[in-house]
Amino acid sequence: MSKYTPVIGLEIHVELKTKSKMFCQCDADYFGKKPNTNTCPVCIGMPGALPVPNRTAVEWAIKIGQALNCVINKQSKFDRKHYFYPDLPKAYQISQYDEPFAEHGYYEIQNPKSNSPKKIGITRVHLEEDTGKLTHTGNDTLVDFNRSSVPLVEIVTEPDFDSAEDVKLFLEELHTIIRYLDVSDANMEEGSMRMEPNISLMLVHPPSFGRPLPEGGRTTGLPFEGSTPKGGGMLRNLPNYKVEVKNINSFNFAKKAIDFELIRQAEILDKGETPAQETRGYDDKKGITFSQRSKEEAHDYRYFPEPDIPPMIFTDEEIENIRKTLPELPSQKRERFSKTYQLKADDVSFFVQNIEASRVYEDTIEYIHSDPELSKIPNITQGTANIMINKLPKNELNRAQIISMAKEGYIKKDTDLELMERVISTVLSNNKPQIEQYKAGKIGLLGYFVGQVMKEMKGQADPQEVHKILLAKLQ
Amino acid sequence: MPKTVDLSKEDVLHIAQLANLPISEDSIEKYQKDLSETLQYVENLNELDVSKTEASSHTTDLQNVFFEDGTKETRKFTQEEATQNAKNIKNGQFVVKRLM
Amino acid sequence: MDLFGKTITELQTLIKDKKVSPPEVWEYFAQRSKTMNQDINSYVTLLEKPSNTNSGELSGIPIAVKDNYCTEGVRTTASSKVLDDFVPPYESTVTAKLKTAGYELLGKTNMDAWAHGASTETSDYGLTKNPWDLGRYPGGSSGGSAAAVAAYMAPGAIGTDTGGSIRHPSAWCGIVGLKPTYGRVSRYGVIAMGSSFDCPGPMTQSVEDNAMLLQIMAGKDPYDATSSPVAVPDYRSEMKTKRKLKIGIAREYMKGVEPDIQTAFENMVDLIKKMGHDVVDVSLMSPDYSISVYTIAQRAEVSSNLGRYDGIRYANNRAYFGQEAKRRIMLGTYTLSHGYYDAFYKKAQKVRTLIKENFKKTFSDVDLIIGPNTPVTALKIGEFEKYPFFGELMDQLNEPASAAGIPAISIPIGLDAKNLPIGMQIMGNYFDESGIYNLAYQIEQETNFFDVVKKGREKYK
Repeated sequence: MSKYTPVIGLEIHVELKTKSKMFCQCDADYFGKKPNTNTCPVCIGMPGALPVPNRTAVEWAIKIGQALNCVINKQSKFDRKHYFYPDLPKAYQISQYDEPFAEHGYYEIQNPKSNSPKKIGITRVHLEEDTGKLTHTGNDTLVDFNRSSVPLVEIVTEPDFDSAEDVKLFLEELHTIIRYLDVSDANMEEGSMRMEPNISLMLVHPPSFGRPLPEGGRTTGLPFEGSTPKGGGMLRNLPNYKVEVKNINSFNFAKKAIDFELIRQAEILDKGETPAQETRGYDDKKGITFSQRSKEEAHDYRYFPEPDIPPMIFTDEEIENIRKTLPELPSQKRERFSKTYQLKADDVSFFVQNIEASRVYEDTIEYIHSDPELSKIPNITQGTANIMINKLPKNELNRAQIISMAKEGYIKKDTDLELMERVISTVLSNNKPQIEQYKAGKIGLLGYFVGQVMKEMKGQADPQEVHKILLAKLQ
Repeated sequence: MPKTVDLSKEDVLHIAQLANLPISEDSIEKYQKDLSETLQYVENLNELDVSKTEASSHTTDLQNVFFEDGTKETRKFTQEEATQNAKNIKNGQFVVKRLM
Repeated sequence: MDLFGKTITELQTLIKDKKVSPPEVWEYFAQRSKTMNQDINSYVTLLEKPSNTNSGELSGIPIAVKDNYCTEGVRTTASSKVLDDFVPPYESTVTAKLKTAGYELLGKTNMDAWAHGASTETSDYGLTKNPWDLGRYPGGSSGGSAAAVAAYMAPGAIGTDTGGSIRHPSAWCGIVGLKPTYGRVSRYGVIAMGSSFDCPGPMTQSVEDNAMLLQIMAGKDPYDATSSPVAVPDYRSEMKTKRKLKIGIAREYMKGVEPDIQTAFENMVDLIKKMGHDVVDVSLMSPDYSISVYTIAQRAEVSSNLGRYDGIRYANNRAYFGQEAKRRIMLGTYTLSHGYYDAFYKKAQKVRTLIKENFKKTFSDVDLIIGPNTPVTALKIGEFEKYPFFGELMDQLNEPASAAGIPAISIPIGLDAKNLPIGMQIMGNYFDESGIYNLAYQIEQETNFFDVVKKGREKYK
């Protein structure tokens, strides 16, 4: 395996949570509705119907592009992408081909195991419409168009990933970015974020072929689907095949599927053969990928500019105005939180990933600093973080609760040590069966013991101290 | 007259497949002939110099036509309206022969 | 009250003055349509009774509607067996506007299936006959509408013009038919043929009727992103404000035109000069290029627009497509397919830019351009089989305006030796339907179109 290096690119679809669909005024929220009760002439593809684009969807697609450091094209348009399938009512999908909203971006991921950040190229960000939903039952396939024409943003990365772990990291960060932008739930389990990796393996030390690299730098026989036809990758020798994996419904599945694929492909390459260029599905129960259909014959989508929708031209000012509405992005917040509040890295990550919690946190800190009494409490920024992350349940994170706990002395203060010792002894003698279980391996019970002590102490102790002492006593 | 674009039998079959059109075996030759004749005629466009010309992908000079995000009931179909013209419906869904 | 030959404008006055009641008017045209349809076959569907409860400008006026407009609750077929039993669950914007104005839907008229053609012969419901000579085509694709008006089965009709489909049958049937500027009238609810060419428009006995219908049909539609926000002027008052015009003639448009048509046209040119207008020669690109541009681009769009007819949500399956439709879908698919897009579609769109620029430049010099709009008068039934792209060839003089998107009208200017109507087209600058109406109205006032419209319906009194 180490003689190969993985070459992985991602194609990600994000379902926007606009109020209405991409080209009509039906509800973009189709969840839970009776079949075919959320359609109109446009999204069900009636004869004579015409599409009109949703302005908000366009702005949000541009925002996603900006958050991924892309160049926003001043001129953009929609194109028709043709293929026949029962869930595609017009027999073409309105998408974007050679003039997408955003191109040539990048995003840096920082794997904690590595020293330097890794730059992932973002090939393009474009807008398209979703299809209807198919249900297979018995001898039939049933079609429901409630979801048809919901706005989808497609994000394509360069094949810059070389590990499943980095892919998972990127997906988690992308998920966070999208939630910061508040343009989608970006939930893989619910289908508002979908991901398909393209996976291949390349020899770490490839034999020199002496072939000059063509313009754009790609040597693959087939175009990298999703990349712009103008090209735009780094000058590299890429493997002459790639495998697309579908039906990945979580970040964890993504990692497992890729790991499996890499092993599978390595075994084939070891034999001196080339893995088939194809689409495979992922079966999490069995933990395998399986062949679905051959991608050998590239689709002829017969793209041409959508005649029913005039082109879109943006001024520098308009693009800048959209950029100005970008919220603080995760990477920016990470830096700011670290600097300003001097918190542990893990705690910073917690706040970066929990938008609401970070809002409460900052609001609480501000309040504390303005209060002469509270601002005297030592170590208050880390302490407040502790309370929020470790003490309070997620649904009780509000400023009032936090302040009251802080006041009650959850933060390190002089504990009645003698009392604490006595209470600890009492608790331990009253809970002999639990101690047995703890020593047998149920280490989670430590939390229970701490809780019991804190209860007896009526909160007048530093739980971390209690924890430390109990841990020592139970050795 | 420039050389005719002569479509082969394979060409015709391939186009029919792309277009999802059922065509009969005995009609292929006529399609070859008809399509080739038409393609031959349109080659007259090669007489014009368009090297410096932009393609008109849209007939109007309109730009940036959008609708404002927001759901409206005006055009929405009931399940009945959406499905009333279909030949095969089951529980409000359209039915096709099972895929895969 | 004898209604025979009354224009819509006249009928409106009669109804307003209570000289005739809407039910009487309905009965009159419904009866005529039912009876005469057996010979002429103008209609695919005839309505049983009037049903519009709205009152407005068109109250009580029955209008024939080409069968590619989706009319809610009324079968709409585009004259194809694919849509044999299709009943639209929604209304097109144009017919909704007519409905709001109080019109009565008289019937859905026959057409070339999917609007593919210039003869109405490709209809799956039999061809429509030309009222002037039942052994001849009415022209197409709006042949049913043209014949209905020409034989006075309906006082007016609407059609669509993609490459000449209003102007061509209007010329062959001897009536007034306008292709508006692309984007002037909403396409929402009109079964799409060539998305960047389709123009819904009015077909009438008189210029005033035509302007009146256009007034109601025109305007920006939020459901059609290509519809124009340019203000809709008061066509009738602008039409009646007599103007002196500078008019261009392109000799390129005389190529291949029958002698009788040429003569009628030259006579008209003399008349126009006598009426005090400036007539100059202009140079336009050869229509041969427009044929190619139109054939490639339209068929490409057709192949795309007809993809949705898979029989799953509505309609019959694709085996029901007729020969002509299949041919056009195949050619369109080919020109868009991998490796051919640049050579055909993209090139056609580039030449289209040249055609647009050519017209724009010409209209900076002249107000209007006139010329013949068909190379021949109505052909005998059976003659079109010879051509693989008959429709496009027959429409060669109409296609330049279609490619550019400019407006153009067909008005009758006489009869040929076979006693068949001859049409002339007046092309105008973008959104200058007023200018076109102005000249057309003046000619009508001056000549009454040589009584062509009147003579056409005489046989059917």
